[in-house]
Amino acid sequence: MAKHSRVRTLFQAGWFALTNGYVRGYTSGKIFTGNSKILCVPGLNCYSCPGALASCPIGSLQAVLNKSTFKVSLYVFGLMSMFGVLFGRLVCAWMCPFGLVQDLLYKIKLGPKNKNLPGHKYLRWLRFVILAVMVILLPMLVMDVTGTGQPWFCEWICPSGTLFGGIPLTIMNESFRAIIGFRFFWKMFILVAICLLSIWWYRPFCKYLCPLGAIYGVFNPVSTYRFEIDTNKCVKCHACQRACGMDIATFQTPNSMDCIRCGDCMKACPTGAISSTWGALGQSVKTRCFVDDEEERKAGAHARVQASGTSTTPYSIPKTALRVMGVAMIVGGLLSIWASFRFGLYGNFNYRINMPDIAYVGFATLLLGATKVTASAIVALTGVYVLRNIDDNEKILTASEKIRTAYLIYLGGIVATIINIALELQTLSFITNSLIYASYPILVVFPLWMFFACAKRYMETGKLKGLMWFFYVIVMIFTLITSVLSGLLLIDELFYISSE
Amino acid sequence: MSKNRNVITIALFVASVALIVAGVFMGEPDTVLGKAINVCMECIGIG
Repeated sequence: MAKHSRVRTLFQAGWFALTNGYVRGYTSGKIFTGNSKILCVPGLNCYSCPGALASCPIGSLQAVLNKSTFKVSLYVFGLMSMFGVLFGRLVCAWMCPFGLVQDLLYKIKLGPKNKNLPGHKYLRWLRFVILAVMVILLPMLVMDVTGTGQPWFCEWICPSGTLFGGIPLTIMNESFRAIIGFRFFWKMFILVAICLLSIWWYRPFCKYLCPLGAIYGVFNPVSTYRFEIDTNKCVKCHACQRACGMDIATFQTPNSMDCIRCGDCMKACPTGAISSTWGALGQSVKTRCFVDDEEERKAGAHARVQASGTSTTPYSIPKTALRVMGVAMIVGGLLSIWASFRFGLYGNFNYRINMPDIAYVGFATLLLGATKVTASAIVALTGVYVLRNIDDNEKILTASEKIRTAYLIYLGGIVATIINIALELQTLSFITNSLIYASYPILVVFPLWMFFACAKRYMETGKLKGLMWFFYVIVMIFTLITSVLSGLLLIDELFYISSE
Repeated sequence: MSKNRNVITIALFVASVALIVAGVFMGEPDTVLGKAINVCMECIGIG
């Protein structure tokens, strides 16, 4: 298996494990009933899967349209639109569990492989018909005497629900087995047919039947993830189309509605003419955070040397002080990662703290926890970087940019949290509780950035020495406080676990 | 062209957030949650 394909398969599997990680569901035959199901995952992930921790967007859309009280669905459609704008059909190749199943089935070596079914030219529009009729119109218009509709797509077509929900729940619940009828056998037939087709034809469900892919595909031309073709490099050899399972001539239609963003075309292109917008952004971030822009530094350094006739860094910070700073960043960053995970991500998914308004709290703590973990990780890694390059003043100069990136990421989480707090005021007490124990990013990252910014100025010009040491002391004090808090929490957790 | 596309992307993102917020105020999340925490018999093909 090619490396890129292996990475994508591992990501798909990891994402499935993350979003369907309710292990107790698989052992007890019951589904998760936590408040995280108020959110939808991007992919076609049935909420009746025993392990599902969130909801299916297509199922949720039909659930809302089924209610006579709602004329349209704003929340679910807003979520799907947001996923579409952010990812487009990247979801299909990287985050959809049934996409993963089809990919794995296609890898089975059993005869010649094909891309398209006969009639592909017209069949590819069938998914839009299914979206319009079975996901939107029928659930919205066909009501019973109580004014409630049915989820037509889920009920009669969705193979993901059958595979991940129907089969395990039926196996584990005798009461379900007792009432199996025509619908179950029909859905099993659909599932088996699609699985068999998937062995010889690439992703037939995604190409012809998936309404979620139909929605996300519309966003492909305008999503944040897009392909770009360098026409100076492209030799129109069609290597991209040969590599593409969806049979798209990427060099002609790089943002086709059919493209699931697997990236195989990028790897196959002999001239590197295909790139992604995320790839370009990632290279830029990588350069800023972890790779010194040698050319830029040397150009700047050369100009300064020419102007002053001296070394670019005539002033140095004492090595001992830098070593202490580096160790503090590593220790503080690691403890902050743990504290942010414990009171943000872990608490959100497992709901150890019972709050009546936890539905909205969950979203805020998830965002805040994720940005705090990321920011703390950047700090810890920069600490390693400082220790490894302690004798190279030129590299120490770049630490300021790295910490600035961490701070901006954290700031983004704060902004999102404030918006969430504005939606539901009861979250405020829960957020402040979380902030106390995971306060490292608040108290330390900003003065740390200030310290390295002043240090850069001092090393180049000798100015801001006093301010640099001021921030140095602030960072040390706050790192000590936050590390003690996080450390006590860690000890408490260990003691709690061992005393059970 | 790229700049126009970025403007469209940002506008669509803002619109989607606005839809989410509007849906939250209309009480849609409660409907989603109510459906999701009960086994969907239609989805699993039972009954």
